[in-house]
Amino acid sequence: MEEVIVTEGLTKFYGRSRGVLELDLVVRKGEVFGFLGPNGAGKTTTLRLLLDLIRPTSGRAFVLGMETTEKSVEIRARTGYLPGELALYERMTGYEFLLFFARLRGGVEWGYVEELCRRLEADPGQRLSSLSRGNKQKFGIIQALMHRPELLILDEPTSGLDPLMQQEFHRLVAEAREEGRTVFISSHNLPEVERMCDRVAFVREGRLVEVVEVASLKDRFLHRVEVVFSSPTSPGSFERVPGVLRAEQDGDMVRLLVRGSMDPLVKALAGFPVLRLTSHEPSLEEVFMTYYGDQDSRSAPMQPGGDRG
Amino acid sequence: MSFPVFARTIRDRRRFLLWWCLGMALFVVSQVSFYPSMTRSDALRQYMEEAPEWIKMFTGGETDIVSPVGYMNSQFFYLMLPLLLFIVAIGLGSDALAGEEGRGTLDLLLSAPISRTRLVLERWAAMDFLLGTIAGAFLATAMASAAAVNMGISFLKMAEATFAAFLLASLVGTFSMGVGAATGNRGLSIALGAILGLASYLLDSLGLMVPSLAPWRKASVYYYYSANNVLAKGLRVGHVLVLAGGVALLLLCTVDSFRGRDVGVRGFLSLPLLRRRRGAGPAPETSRG
Repeated sequence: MEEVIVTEGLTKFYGRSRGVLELDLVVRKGEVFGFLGPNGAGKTTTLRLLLDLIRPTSGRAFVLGMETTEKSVEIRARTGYLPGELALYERMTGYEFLLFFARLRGGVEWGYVEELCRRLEADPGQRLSSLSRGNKQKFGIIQALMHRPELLILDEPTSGLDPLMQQEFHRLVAEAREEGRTVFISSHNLPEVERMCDRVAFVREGRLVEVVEVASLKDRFLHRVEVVFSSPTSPGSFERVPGVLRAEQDGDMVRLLVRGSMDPLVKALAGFPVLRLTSHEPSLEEVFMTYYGDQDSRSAPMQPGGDRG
Repeated sequence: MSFPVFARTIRDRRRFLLWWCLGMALFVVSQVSFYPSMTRSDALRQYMEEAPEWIKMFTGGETDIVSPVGYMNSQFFYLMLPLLLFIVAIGLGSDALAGEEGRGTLDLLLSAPISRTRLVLERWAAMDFLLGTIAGAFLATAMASAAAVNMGISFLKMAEATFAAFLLASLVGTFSMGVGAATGNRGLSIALGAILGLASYLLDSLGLMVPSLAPWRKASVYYYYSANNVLAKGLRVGHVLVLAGGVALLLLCTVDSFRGRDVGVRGFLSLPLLRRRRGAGPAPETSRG
């Protein structure tokens, strides 16, 4: 299979502070690849290295078969990029902004730009300075997609978008994949990456921890489940249900820590008077704590509410 | 072949350009309109002949401010025209790369398929185009108002002096742009550009009056502008070549430093200094785990 992004021992230091360390990564043609890690893990650094905005301290990176420091203009012609800290030309209108980038790219199919504006509900008549963060983000996304690039490099693409627009964005990514294009997405939001991506790389403190198939994630990650019953129910009834790691009682509520499939738990709950059932995705830090830290998964904290920050 | 960055930069600056051209024109017309009353004043001529030496700081060593050449030199060419063009050049030069980097839009711009060399050249060309247009507006109104008051002055030599002022300002602007390209720091590029402009003016002017400084005049770029000589005798090819060569050299350095730089990594250069200062303090560095 054709390799779209290859990094070999890619390392970046800013003075003495770390960006990324010895990163070896392969992204294949036609896949949606998630690049997941907490803030400060080196995600943005990696993406900016791929676009030749910054240069590696050591190691190399290849995009579309070309070395980033040598053929940057050719790479960028075939790539769409959405920066993480998006700053637009505030004095332009959305229309002027898109026209400017279309010209920089030597012309694009304008009908497609209009379609993107329609689908993301972006109003190109407005001056960009007057737009909210989410609406600015839309123009960043349109700009990255407008020339139908072979490779999309998107840094936290859905930040600021409302849920409806996030769904539309997910559809755009799915369409790109159907057309055989490659998408490289950085994120610190695990559920979103699970929805969109084929494979995920976990990075932490500048290092690649693991690359996994998203399909295999499903039965590995933890869920925190809270069940409210109409009468107090002993947690002991659930402790032996397969997948349940821990059960705690709190008045009418039972808090459970579940790994993998929910099915056995749901079947077990069927015999009880359930008033309310909520499930929380684990935060990324918890995922790292439970799977890549030295701690046993049973000692994972059981606090309500997932951190989506 | 299209030049989207050049075109866009000019378009974004159209109001800036309009106001500067209007301001230049108003300034020229108001100053030249005083000329007829100046020539009738013997007292002024006498005053200038007895004037203290430092007055020459503002006239390029001339005491004649009443003849057409002397008047135009003292009112515009020796100091005011270069000074105003410096302001334009430093403003545009520092904004061209460092300003864009500071606003955070450089990441997006450099994700488009445009080489860094090309970006520098298009931005530089836009700066020189705007600078040249403003200098042109000055020259056009200077010629028109000189003709209106029947000032007997060579239009060609005025054009030559304006061109020399444009070259000098372009050099200062290119320097400012280069500092911005190398550091990403707009404040620094404004400051160093202003220092280059003012220091070279001071060195050249003081060199006229302080004999021990005289040999150093040639180290100042202002010396190669020498407006009073140009207005009287015309351009000297050698001086033009020094200025143009300086611009070319600075542009080359700008391209080179911008190509090699990590864009958007600010504070990188200042980090070692910060660390040293922190280390010298009484409190040891604490890690934020």
